[in-house]
Amino acid sequence: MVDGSDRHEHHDPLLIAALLDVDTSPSERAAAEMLIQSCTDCAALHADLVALSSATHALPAVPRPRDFRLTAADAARLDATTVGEPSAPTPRLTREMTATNTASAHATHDTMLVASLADHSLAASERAAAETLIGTCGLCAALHLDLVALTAATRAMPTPPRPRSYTLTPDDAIRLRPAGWRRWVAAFGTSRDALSRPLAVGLTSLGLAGLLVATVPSALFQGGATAGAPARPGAAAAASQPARDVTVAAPEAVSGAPVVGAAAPSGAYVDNAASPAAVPVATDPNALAGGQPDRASLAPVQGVIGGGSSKGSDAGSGKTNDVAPGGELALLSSTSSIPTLVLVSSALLIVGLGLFLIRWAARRFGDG
Amino acid sequence: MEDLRSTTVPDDPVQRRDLILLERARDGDLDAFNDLVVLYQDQLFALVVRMVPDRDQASDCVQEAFFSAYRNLTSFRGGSVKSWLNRICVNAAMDTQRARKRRPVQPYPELDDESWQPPAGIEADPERTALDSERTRALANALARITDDQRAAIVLYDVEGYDYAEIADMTGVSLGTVKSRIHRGRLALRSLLEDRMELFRG
Repeated sequence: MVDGSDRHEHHDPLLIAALLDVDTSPSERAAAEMLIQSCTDCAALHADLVALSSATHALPAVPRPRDFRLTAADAARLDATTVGEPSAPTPRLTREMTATNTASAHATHDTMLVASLADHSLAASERAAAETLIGTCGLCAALHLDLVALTAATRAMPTPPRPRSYTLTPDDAIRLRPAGWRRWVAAFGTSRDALSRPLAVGLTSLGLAGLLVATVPSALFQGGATAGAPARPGAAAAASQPARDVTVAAPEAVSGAPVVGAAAPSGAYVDNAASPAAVPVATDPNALAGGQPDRASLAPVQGVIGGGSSKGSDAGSGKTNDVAPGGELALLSSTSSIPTLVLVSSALLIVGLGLFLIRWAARRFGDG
Repeated sequence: MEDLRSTTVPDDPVQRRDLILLERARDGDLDAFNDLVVLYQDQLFALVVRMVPDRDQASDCVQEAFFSAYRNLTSFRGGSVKSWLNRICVNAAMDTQRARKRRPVQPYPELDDESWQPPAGIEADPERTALDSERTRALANALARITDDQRAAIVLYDVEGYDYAEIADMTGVSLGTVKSRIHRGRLALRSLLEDRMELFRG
């Protein structure tokens, strides 16, 4: 650094002072820094200015001796002195005179504009308009003062004492941030989990609907056709036999029960979802083993009847229908599609109920 | 786990302390989280109790906010821990306000309880104290009667000192809506207190 005291008087002290401002241009900043580096007096001036700035910032606030808010009386007094326009019967309606002290005129004023003035957030043009309102309308001025007073009072509202401590206990911590399987389960119960509940409802509904579709119609049919005689489980064995065998096995399988009740492996349902009707078999004593002709008359044969015909149509599966020796058709139900529907429905139901169970566990063991 | 110190090293010692506590809490240190609770519970209760007029509900709301903060420690993405806690509290308070609409309660019951009075200095003038108490009661009742949104906006702006943009971010509405709520809320307060404004005019 060069001691340039003899030249310091030629240096611009304002440039040194401007170095403290954040908005000094880069060129001015560079020039000032060059001065500081090259002139000891400029450097000393800069150091002094920095110290003074810091000291100014650190000045303690002097307590306000009194409240400077204006009272309504002040507002009225100031209003009377500053708005000394003549109260002519037909006052001038210039821009400056649109505001008067009458309540009817005040009703047309924009109170939101006055309210905005209280938080110093208005643009310059809006602020000017608001200040014009306040300056020309006593009611607007009173409103402004009231709003300022209310804002101050809101800030000064005391807070009731905190009733308790909000620190967390170890139990809270475990509950709120579970570890291991609890953490996995808890994920299902959180408010962010928007998927599991509708998924559980949907799967459960589908499962129930599938089971109903698979079971109820046949149960209704069975009930109506047999007058309350349930198919015995033992009849299931006969279902796997050809129809002719079934009819042979019928005496042991059923006792007054529908023949095709034995067609289902479980004995609990039959495939009649696709069958529009159950066709009573034309009785042929020869077709029914065991010589039980009257059972044949009681036993409707339920099955898929292709095209509504009762003449040995196969309904596509061709598995179990058969033609009775007497030339009449005994249609037995197809067993292949029934378990599929039931299995799928059962699986959906189980998964849906499982999701419900997991959600319950999440709420029970977690804090979802 | 994200190392907060690697991405944000605030100059503010308070923020740095908060971040260290938060990081320790994320690592499972409950004491560190409880240190944060102790640091901010008074301020957060003061915020919430102005937004939720019922003191018990406000207290539950603050507790739930701390629960939520602990549960979602991993969702903190840096910045100010205080602002993050404030945001959680504001959301909890707004949830409570929505629930309160379904189960209305007596607003600010502590103000009707003679056992609680605003704190007064030793040299306080009894007349002045009574006036302050009356002013507080009137203002609190009026605050309880304006809409929840207006009350939240006024508290966040006038009491907490947030700016419009921060309030808009916290409450999920536009900046213009925030302004409107504040200004309409003030006008509503003035309308409700029109007959008692002498209390506030000094």
